[in-house]
Amino acid sequence: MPEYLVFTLASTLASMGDVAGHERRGTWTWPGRSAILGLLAAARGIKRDGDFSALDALQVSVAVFETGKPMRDYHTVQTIPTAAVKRPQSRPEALRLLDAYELRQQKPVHPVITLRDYRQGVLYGAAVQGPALETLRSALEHPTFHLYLGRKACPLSAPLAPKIVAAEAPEAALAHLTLPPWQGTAMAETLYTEAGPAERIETRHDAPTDRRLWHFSQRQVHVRTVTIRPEGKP
Amino acid sequence: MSVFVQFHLLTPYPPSNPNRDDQGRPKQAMVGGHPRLRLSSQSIKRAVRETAYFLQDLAGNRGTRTKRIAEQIEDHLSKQGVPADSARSAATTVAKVFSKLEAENNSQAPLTTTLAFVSPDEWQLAKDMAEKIAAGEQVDEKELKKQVLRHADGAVDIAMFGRMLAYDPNFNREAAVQVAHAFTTHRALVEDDWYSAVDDLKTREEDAGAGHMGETGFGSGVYYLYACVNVDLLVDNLGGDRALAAKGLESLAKALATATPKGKQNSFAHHPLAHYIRAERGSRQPRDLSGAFFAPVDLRANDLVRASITRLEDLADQLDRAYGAMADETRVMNLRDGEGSLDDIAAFAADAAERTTAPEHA
Repeated sequence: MPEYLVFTLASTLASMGDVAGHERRGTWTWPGRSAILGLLAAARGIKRDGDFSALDALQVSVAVFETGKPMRDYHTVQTIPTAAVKRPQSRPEALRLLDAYELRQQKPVHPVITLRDYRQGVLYGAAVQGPALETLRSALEHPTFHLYLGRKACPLSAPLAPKIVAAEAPEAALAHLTLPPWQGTAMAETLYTEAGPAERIETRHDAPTDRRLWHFSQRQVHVRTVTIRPEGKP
Repeated sequence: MSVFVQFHLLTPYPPSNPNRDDQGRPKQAMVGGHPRLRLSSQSIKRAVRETAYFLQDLAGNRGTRTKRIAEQIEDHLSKQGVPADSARSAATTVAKVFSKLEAENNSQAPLTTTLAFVSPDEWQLAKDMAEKIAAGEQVDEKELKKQVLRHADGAVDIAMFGRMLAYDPNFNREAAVQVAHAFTTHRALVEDDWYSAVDDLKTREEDAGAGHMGETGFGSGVYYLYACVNVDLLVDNLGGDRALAAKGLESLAKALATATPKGKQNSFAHHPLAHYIRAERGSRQPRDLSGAFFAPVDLRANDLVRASITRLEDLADQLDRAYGAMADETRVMNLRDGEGSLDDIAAFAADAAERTTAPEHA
């Protein structure tokens, strides 16, 4: 029977990369391959420009217990075009000069607004299969870098409780998860895997290829309906 | 394996609107399916950087976020007696290391096109290099970048909150401090204040109506704030200077307890202080204690602060019992029980800098 490293992912706020780069930063409803590999890399202390080859061989499955409610946050960035304000002495002065410019031009210079999407109150189970699982397990217990779901402002709200279990399939392995005390009775009905039977196949661009250039290739996700009710006590 | 210091704070806010959304109303969130008020992590970090603990106690160890790099260097060279045109050209050559430059304007040195977060060490190196260039030394552009930009140095705020140099990601700094969005431990909705203002010079006989009418959102509640410091990374970002990291941790502890985002501060005069702080030190996987408020504190509780403290401590105990101790050591400041002090929490946090393993640093 193959061995799986299973762990719980819970957070009050999460953001799981959609296509980004412009003013709108979306989020998926579940963490993809790049999110899980990034978390394992952070635990191992692999820097952004480091060597990820040990992780590329891993197979990743994600069970969804709770996708959370959507939330949209925004940041304003008040840019001050040089056409409007030439060499201000300070930011307050720049903003004052901008007001005068807007009055003269009879039109406002709008701040840039960036929209960021989050999911509130998410809960997932991850099952990872491949080499060196024990090293990964102990790294998750005592990580090198912060672990978070998508953005640094999205800390984990429960212990990952990583454990290695032997099982026929990821859904059987995930039955050994430990859920956070306040969500002890949650159940997962959807499993996203990379192999095995599938009710449908989705395409998602979350297989990291070039981490310096931030390139991701597409990947086939096998989706199947499951019933996972972990009763795992820590 | 790294040493982490985690801060959990409970802070009651009076009616106020410290952090606004795109409609000008207090930011909100849903936690556990219940509406809460929220402060964004960005607004909290900005407030922390603006405290006297950062501005004064860390003076000389703070970065400057600016576009006016060439101008500063040119001024420096002029004071050394370097002739104007060679001062300008040396200054722009060095400033290009940080970012592209805007078109040159004869009266003033060009601005960089993006804001760069520059550490005190980098300022010094940039000025030194500019002096050499003005004295006729030939410097290769790539070599210059290596001479001036630093992977680690003595700027505490850059080391804590990170930086992005759009034109050279190699010199980005990974943030050593994680700050979560703060949210109320109980259900809280934004309330509306409808107001009118009187025109002093208008008589009753003429028109008894208001001179102006408006509406503003506000809210009040007990916020849970979580921040987590990766102390190893902080020391590493500071070039291995443990004493400075300790000073930074002390300032951060004090700033988190006393700083507040300043939205509508003159309208609401909010100056909240943390009533409860739990600081934890250890190398186990950090976790926040937001789960304590997943089911919101009952608003019928007579004392929301005390009820929140009880919930938070109960969850920490539950997690310890179920998963094994999540931290090696814990310190608490609890205003209600007269337990602990902010100085004590700050010293406890600062002490973590001594517990990291020796960082390898070039």
